[in-house]
Amino acid sequence: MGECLLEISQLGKTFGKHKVLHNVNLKVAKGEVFGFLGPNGAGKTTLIRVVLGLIRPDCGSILINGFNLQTNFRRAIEHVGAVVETPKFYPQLTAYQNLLLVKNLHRSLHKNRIGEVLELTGLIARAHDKVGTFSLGMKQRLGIARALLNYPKIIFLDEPMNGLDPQGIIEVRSLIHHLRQQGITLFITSHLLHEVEQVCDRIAIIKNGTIIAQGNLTDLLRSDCEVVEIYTKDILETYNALAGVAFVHKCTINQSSLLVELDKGSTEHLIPFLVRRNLHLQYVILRKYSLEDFFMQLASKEGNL
Amino acid sequence: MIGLIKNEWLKLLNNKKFYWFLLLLLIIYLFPVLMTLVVRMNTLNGQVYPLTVFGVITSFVMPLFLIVLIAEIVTEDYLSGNLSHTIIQPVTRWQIITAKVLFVFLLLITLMLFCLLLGYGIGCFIFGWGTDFMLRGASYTSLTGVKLTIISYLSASLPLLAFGLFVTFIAVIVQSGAAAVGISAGILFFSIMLELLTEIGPFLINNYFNTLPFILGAFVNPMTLISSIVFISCFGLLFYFLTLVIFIRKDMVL
Repeated sequence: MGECLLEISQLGKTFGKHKVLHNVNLKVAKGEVFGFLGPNGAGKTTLIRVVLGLIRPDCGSILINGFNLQTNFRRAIEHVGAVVETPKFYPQLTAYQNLLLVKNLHRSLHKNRIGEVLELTGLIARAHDKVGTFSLGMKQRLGIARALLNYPKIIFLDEPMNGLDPQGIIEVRSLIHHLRQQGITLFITSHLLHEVEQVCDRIAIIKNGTIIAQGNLTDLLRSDCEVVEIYTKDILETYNALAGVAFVHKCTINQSSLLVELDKGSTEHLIPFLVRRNLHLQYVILRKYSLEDFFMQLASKEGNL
Repeated sequence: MIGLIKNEWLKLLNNKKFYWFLLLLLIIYLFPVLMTLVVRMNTLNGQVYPLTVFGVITSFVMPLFLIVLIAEIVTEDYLSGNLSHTIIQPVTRWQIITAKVLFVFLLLITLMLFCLLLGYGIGCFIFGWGTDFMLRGASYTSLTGVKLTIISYLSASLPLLAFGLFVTFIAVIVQSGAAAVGISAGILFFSIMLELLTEIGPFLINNYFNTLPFILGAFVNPMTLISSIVFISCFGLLFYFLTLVIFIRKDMVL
């Protein structure tokens, strides 16, 4: 891992008797896109709020860009951008005025920067329209524009795809790719595992306030076996043929196909094996071990996530 | 800090409620004109007109405006999630509260000046400047009258600010804008009743909203004015520090 931009050590937070965060340790390197996953109520938003100084932790420390958040808040937060849950704005103010409210709190920023971020997020044409007239997708983009205003080194995006239509999701995704290319570190929480898998380099999974898995996405998704889906008219015959084959771990019958779990790299042996037995194969699909599979596997190990 | 105060002005000047309030002030300032026409009395003139409405403005209109304003800039700001966004900027929490307090003070002075000009404008337009400045049976020179009027209007900002700090304290501890308005207004009316019915007036902040009697009293005994200033300052500072302690420790879950 390269230079560390965010370092969370032994973080804990309790609301009343409920332990919301327990001994959380995380490191996010400069320039990476970090995915933070977990079911509802696991502690994702609470962690983001603690890291942003909105909630006081009971114990532990947070370093952002080398500055301790508790003892040097202003320096630590100076180059941080955030969109926490659905971005909130003053509906009676225009998009430009809402961004002006943030610009006014950063002495070094020039007014031109507002135009730049509105241009970047495709909202320049609506700069002087009241935010009350904006769609959710536009508010989400305006939230990102606001997060970009202070030339952030790290941006926290809490459920950035939530409630967006497919077009909105594509727009936000391409914006994330654009930010990544600019070298901005991103910390993203999301329920949409497919989206996280597309954009993140590393992930952490939290459950009941505790991190249960953390690492490089490609390492976590590396599996010792592979899964193929076989479409054939001879389902039963194929199923029987595969019984007892050494490289096949598991075979299950789906509605119109067979799901076969086998040794990594064995697919190339599987097809000739079935062809030699004159079984009529329509097509064979190699199923990628996805983040969703990893998440579900973890769920079965850890009980219901 | 200046950026935070500028932001409060930007939000206020884009809020329709503020312009409705200015219209309400105009209507209140026209009310004595209507009363004079109804009872066909012609004792008012432009010099005394601003002080005719002063008591109503400082004792009822401004405190109620402050309650609604502070509920909006503190409680509603928190509930809408916008306050959280201010907190994650490079400003400290005490700066946020102090900026809101300074904004309220600047706004109070601006509004009192607006009321003063409104009073003089309407009074002079309807009744003319007049020859005497008669107040509570005593006659003063026009210059003394103008000084008394200006000092009364501007000095009212201090007790009103102290009351505003009390309302800010309520607004920080409750979880709804309606509750902040209801509790603060309830306490205000209860204090007004207590002031009328009991002898504890000097220990109630609303006793000091109408500053005119204290300024007139200072001509006789300056100590009365000094003790009033000390009480108002202690009251305001107490609630300012209590607000800071609570706000700095508050978890922003919205």
